[in-house]
Amino acid sequence: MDGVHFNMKKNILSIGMAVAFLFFACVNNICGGLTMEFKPKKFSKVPINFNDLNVCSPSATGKGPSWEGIEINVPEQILVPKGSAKPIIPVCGYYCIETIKLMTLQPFKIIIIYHKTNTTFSGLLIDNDPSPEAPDPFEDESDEIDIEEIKGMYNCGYFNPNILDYVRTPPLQSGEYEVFIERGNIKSNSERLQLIIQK
Amino acid sequence: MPGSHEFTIKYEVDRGNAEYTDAEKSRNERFTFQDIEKKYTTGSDGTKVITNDFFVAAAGGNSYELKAWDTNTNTVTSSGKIIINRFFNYIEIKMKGLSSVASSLNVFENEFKDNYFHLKALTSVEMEHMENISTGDTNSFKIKVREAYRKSEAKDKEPFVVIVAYTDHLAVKNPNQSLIKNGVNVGPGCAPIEIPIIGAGLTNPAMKRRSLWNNLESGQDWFVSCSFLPDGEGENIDITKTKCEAITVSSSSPNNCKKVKINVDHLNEATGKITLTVNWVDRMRAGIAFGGNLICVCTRSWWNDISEIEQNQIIIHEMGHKVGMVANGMRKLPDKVSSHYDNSKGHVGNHCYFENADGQARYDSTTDRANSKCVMYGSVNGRSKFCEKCKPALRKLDISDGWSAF
Repeated sequence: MDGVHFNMKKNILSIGMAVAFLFFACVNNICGGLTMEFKPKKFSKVPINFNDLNVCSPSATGKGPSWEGIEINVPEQILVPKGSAKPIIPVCGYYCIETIKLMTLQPFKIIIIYHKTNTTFSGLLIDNDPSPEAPDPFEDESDEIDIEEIKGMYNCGYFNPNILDYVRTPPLQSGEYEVFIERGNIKSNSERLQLIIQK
Repeated sequence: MPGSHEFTIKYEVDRGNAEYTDAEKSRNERFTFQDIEKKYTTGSDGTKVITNDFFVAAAGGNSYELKAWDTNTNTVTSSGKIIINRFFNYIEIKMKGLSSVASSLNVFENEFKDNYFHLKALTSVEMEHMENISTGDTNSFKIKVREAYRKSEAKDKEPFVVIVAYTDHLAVKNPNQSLIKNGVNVGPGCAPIEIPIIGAGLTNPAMKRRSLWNNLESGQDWFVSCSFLPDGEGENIDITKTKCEAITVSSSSPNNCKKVKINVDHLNEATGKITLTVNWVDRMRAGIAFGGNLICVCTRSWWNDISEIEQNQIIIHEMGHKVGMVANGMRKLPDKVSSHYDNSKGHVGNHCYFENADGQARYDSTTDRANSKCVMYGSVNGRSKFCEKCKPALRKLDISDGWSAF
């Protein structure tokens, strides 16, 4: 089983980023009310912080029967116009992890590295909702999961967080960033993005 | 007596008044009262009007008398006492078509009155119905509430008015979750494959059984897809929903299903993997305290009606958040309540673990909930009252800024 997957297509694309910038397509981000520009422009259509398949999600098909890992896509470039409060940095991911491992692994962790200073920021992918939960009347301690019933099982799903909703950073600077996601010892492909903050 | 006379005046405070610590006073100037003696001289007519010098602290139920004496030690005491009550209005906004809205909020009102608040209910109004409010529906919900609110008398009471909106379910969907089971045998005579719906939560990473997104919103189903991939070079074979049976946890709650039984005896004999993709319930919220002056309470949860007493409990909890509970000793709040816990130990936000042991790593297990004895615990626990740890902080809270419109 593979623990790490690299999105080769995206890496090749990032090499040609400077050339591609000439053909940069400007679109409105629909997620935060900010007028941000993404490349590829399809990232403007990502339903931020909603865990569902979207046009930027990594493909779940074509993976082997026992594929295990985390795969992510991020925009190659984000242009943040002058006056915007806070950028939105979407990361679209897909994962498949053996259920039995998920019982003990730490939550998903988003890591972002600012290349210029080699500074690393990270945060757990856990939603903050202060609303009190109504307990399920059919859940109690005897509802514990039997290891036998999850043998050979995998959990797979999508996630599309805005990185900055989960990772605390000082005000970001323009420059190149590296993004990847970990769940315990399972690490995603590492992607690079160029952030341009207009002053 | 006409003529200019010197006199001294000060507050006499009641012995039962809530007292603020120095740390609290340093955080919020409204946690102080005029505690020094002030000297004045009357005008030539023998009177003196003092306008801004004698201020009181925010704490509810605190009482003050004024005592004044002149240079001849003639002493007078004010004829009445100043007793502090913290006041707010509330308005109920009820979704049309709800069948189980609380008919009385006496429990809510009495609990706040017992803790030195003064409440006034405004005339309730109605709003459009929504079957469920998930995390992505917040804006639609607010638009509908705002429409009703604008037409009500509450708008004129800002910033001292809070909206209590009654909703249907407040369930949060976790969509498109795939569960894969390897090494399954299919074909004529093969037993159905049972897949337990198990996964991590969005707010809590713990793996547990999840309920299918079943009959919660029109046009939304629990079933997304199901397929079988034989080992080797075989093609993926779709399995229709008719072959997938959601297994209910109890006949008394037929919509609550945490397992799917997949019939595979119509397939050709093979061994391989089954992929079942479903929408499941991440959690059901009992209420929500939005920013500004809006809270909401669900009238249905886990496919059942919520009782009147539970709705009162939820409103007390959410209103508790609105007034600043559970105080964590930050910003303008009182010192941290000793039974306070936050995100790092379980439920998100500021909550109270009263009657659980101090120093636990987390406070969000079903045992913790059973042990908890405060309405500000992070999950509905059948409690209607603030605990003895929370009450002193609740009494000290400063709500004099009110709430901005949501």
